[in-house]
Amino acid sequence: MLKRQLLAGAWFTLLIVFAALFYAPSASGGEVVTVHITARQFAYEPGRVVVNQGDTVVFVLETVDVTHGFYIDGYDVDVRIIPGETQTVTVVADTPGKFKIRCSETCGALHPFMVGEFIVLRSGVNIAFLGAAFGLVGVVLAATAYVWRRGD
Amino acid sequence: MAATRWHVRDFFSSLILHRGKFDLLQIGIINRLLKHRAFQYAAMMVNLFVFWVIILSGFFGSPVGNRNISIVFVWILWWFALIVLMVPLLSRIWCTMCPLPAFGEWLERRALVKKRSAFKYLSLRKPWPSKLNNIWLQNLGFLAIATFSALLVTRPVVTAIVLLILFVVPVFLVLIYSRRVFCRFICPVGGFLGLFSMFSALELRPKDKTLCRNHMTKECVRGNDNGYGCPWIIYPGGLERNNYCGLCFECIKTCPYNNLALNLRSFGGDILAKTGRALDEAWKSFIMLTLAGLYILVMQGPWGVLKDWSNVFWAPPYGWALTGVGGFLPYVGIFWGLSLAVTPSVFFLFTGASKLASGVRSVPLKKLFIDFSYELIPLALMAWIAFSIPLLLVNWSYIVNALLDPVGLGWNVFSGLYVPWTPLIPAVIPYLQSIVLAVGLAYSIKYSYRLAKQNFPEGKAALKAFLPQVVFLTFVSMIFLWLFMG
Ligand code: SF4
Ligand code: SF4
Ligand SMILES: [Cu+2]
Repeated sequence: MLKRQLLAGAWFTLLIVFAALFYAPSASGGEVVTVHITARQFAYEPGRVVVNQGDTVVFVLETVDVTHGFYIDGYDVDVRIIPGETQTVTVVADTPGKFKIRCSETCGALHPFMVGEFIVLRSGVNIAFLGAAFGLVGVVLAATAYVWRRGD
Repeated sequence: MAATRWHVRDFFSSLILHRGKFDLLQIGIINRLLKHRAFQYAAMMVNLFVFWVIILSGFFGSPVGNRNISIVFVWILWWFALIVLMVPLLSRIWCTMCPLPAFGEWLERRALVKKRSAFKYLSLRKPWPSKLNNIWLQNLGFLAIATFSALLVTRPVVTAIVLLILFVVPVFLVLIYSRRVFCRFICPVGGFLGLFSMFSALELRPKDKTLCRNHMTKECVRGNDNGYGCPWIIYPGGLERNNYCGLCFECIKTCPYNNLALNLRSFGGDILAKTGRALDEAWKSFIMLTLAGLYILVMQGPWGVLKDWSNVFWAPPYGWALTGVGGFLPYVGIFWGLSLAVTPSVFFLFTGASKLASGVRSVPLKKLFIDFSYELIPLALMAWIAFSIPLLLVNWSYIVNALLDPVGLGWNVFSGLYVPWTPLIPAVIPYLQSIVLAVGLAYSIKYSYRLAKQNFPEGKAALKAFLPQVVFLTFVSMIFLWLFMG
C-alpha cells in the first residue's frame, strides 16, 4: 500500500514540475541566432540545430554539390539552395519541439532520406520530448497497475 | 437487415472489447467468395500484373527512385499497406494475393484455378531438410536484405532485380520440394509476416478440434475434389497460431464439415499460444525490434555519416561503398551485431533478473528467455508502424505523380498535372509516432504479465518476474521515443 502511495506521489511531483515548465514563461530565448548550414548529398551539416523558443533564427544556407531544398516541418519554410549561391531564411522559433528539416529538391538516390533536425527548447529543455517521456511513463504505470489488478 | 446489424455489433465487440470471436465466414458473401476456386487466382493475377509493370519500370524507367513506380509503389505504398493495415488487421492476407509463388504453384498443379488429381503434380516432392525446418533462413535472409536496404529502396533497378530473383527461386523450390516451401522457409518477407501476424486481429482456426482429431481422412491435409491439401504444409485442424498459415483458403474448401472459422479476435491472441515457441522466432523478434530502431536512426535521422555508410554501391576505387569499405563494414557490424548479439544479450540479462526476482528455481532460464521474447511482438510491430507513418504522410505526392507518369520519363499522361511535394501534417508526425509506440508498449506490458503468469502460476512470483521485463520494455521504448522526439 505504502509503495503504491509513494509511486503516485512521485508521479504527481513529476506532473507539477512538468506543468511548471510548460506554463512558466520561457527562461531563455528572444535572441537572434545565426546558423550556417552546408547541404550535401544526403545530409545537412550540422544535422541538428538547437535553439530556444522565441529566438529569431537566421539560416545561412549553402550547398557543396547539387541543388538541395530546405523545408522545415510545421514552420512554413521551403527554399532552394543552389550551388554557388548563399540563401538566407529567417525563422521565428515559436513552437517548441523537434522538427525535421527535409530536402525538397530531388537531389539523388537517397534524397527522400535527406533530413536534419530543428530542435526548439523551452526554458532550456526539450519540453515536447519531456512531456512525451512523462506520458510514456504514465502509460507504463497505468498498464502495469492494470494487469496487476486484473491478476490471472 | 437485423442480421447485418448483429454482425456489425459482434464485429466491434470482438475486435475492441475482447468479447469472444466473430466468424467472418458467417457472412454469406465472404463465405462464397473465399470458397470460390477463382478467388485466390484472381487476387494473384492482379498483383502479378502490377509486379511485372514494377519490374519493367525498374529496368527501363527513370533511375531516380522517387519518380519510378518500382520504388514508390513497393517501398511506400505496398510497404505501408502491408505493415500498417494488412498485418495488424488481417494477418497474412498479403500471402493470399502475393504473386511471387504464383508460377511455381501453377506449374506444380498444372492448373490455374481447377483442382487436379494428385497424380498429376509436377514436382519431385522431396522432403524439406529437417535442419531447416525453422525460420533461421528467413532471419538471415531478412538481415542480409536489410543490410543493403539503402540500395534497395532507392535504386529502381535493384528493386527490379531482387523481385525477379524472388519470382524465379520459388519455381525451382517447388519443382524439387513441392508446395510453399519458399514461403515457409525462405521468403524474407514471410518471416516477419509470420511473427507479426501473431498480433493480428484475424485468425483461421478449427471450430471443433475433437471433430478434426476424429476425422480419419483429414481432407484439409490431403485435399479432395474441392481443393488442395494445405499448400503451407501444416495441419489446419490443429492450428493454434497464425504464423505459418498463408490464408490460401484451400482448407475451408476441402473440409467436408465446414469446421474452419475465419475469426475476428482481439489483438495479440497468439502471443499466449504455447505451441511452436522456439529460439528462431525469439531471434526474429530481436531482429525486427533492433532493425526498426536502426532504420529510423539511419533513414529518418540527421546523421549524414550513417547514410554515407549505408549508401553502398560499386564505386571504384572504393569497392562496394561510396566511402570505402571502411564505412560499410562498421555499418554491417552494427546491423548484424546489434540485432543478433547485443539486443538478445541485454534481453537475456533482464530475463535472468526476472528469474532471480521470481525466486522460483524450477523454471529453466532458456524457457523463460524464449517465452518472454514473445512480449516484444507488439512493441516491435508498432515501432515498424511508427517508422512507416512518415513514409506515407511525407511522400504521398510521389505516389500520385508516379501514377500520372508511370515510368518517370516525362510521358505524363495528363500532361501538366503534377502534384508538388507537400508533406501532410508533418509537425504532428512525431506525436503520432509516440502514440503508436505507447500502444505497442501497453500491449507488450499486458502480454509480458500473462507470459509471466504462464511460467509462474503461483502467488506473487509472476509479478516479481514481470517487473524487470517492464523495465526492459520501458527502456527500449524510451530509445524509440528519443528517436522520434528527442
Ligand atoms: S511468404 Fe512471401 S512469397 Fe510467400 S506468399 Fe507470403 S510474401 Fe509471398
Ligand atoms: S491452414 Fe488452410 S488457409 Fe492456412 S495455409 Fe493451410 S490450407 Fe491455406
Ligand atoms: Cu537534397
